[in-house]
Amino acid sequence: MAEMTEMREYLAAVRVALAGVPARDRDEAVAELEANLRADVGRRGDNPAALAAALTDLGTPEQYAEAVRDALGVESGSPEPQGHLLGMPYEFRAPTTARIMERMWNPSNPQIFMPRLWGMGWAINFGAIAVRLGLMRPDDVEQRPFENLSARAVSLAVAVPATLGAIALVIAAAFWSRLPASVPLHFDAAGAADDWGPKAVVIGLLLLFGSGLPAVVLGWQALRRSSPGTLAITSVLLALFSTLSVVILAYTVANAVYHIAGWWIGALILGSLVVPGAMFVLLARSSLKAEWRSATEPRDSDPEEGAR
Amino acid sequence: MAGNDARTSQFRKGAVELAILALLDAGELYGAEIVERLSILPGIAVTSGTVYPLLGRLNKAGLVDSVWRESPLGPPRKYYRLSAAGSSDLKDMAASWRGLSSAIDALLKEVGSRG
Repeated sequence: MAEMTEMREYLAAVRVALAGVPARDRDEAVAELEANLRADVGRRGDNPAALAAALTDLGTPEQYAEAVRDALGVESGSPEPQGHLLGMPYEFRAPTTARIMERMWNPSNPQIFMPRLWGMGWAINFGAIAVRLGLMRPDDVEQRPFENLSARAVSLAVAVPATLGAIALVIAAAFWSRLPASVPLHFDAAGAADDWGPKAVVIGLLLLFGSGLPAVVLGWQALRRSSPGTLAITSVLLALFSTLSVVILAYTVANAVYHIAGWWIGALILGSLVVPGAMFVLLARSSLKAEWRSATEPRDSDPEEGAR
Repeated sequence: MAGNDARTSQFRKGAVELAILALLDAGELYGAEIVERLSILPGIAVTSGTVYPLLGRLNKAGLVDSVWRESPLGPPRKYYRLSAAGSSDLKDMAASWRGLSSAIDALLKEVGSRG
């Protein structure tokens, strides 16, 4: 029964492509497809050629899964994580631009805590915060977010993580010889160091996230000639990492070299979130304004309009 | 134009849903029959890949009911029919579709005569 295997394989592939859709909806969608597919094959003659023709009409399993998501998406407005473990959402699929936007910059969704992009826990929906602060309206995002940004705005966005990454490198280089062999690895709520590690490892890790990651990711995007929107969104995400790195690196140096400590480091780390948040708001506004301008420009120069 | 395709597919999705409900108003049908009847309408041009997911959605939304029936050849078939909610939804959607389409037609007529 080679044809049965082929149908089972197609159904299994659709199920895989539906990862992230709630289990019940996924089961229903696959059962629905199986019922319809069997009836279709039956009426086409119930032979291998009939199955092949029916499968061709359906498109690839990925396309079919996309159509199911599309159909279900009309009703479920909130992003679904890959799964839950002990009540916490987890996500181990590679982040896509669409998923970053849906979870970190989604003004149309009032929910502030979203399933995290990668790993376990939650992400912050800066879009919802901007709406609550009165900076944005829930519908203030284009179909293809940030794609109308000017080259200058995109370069400015890219410059944020690039500059912060460079600052991290400069701080590490300037204080390297003055740092003791083991430096603080963890701080308690009062800001005092309570765990130490070799300086090459601690500083290396901070630089990896703050400088290495932006360099690799931005380099990769440049090679792929990513669209302005993708570059801007990636820059915001990288800015989050590099801001945190610079803040933690500076505090580690201050603590190890000058013995400075205080509870305010916790507030400062939380405050780092302001950087990506502000970038989202500024970029969204800039892109929207560019879109409005391009929508009104042709009207001004329309010769027919002027003649009347 | 890519943007044009995206827009067309947006309003086509709503239209295909309405078309499915309209077909089922005449009586119950199984999935492949719905695809066949829609695919011969040139303006709609759908495949099973778009119709089945929409049937799933309509079923989940309670607008259509499904029932298994024996078939003269091959395996049993899953038939769809309008539910009570689907019937009243169809009436609402049909009314707003007619209103919308006559308004748009009137506007498009002007576009044609001007150009």
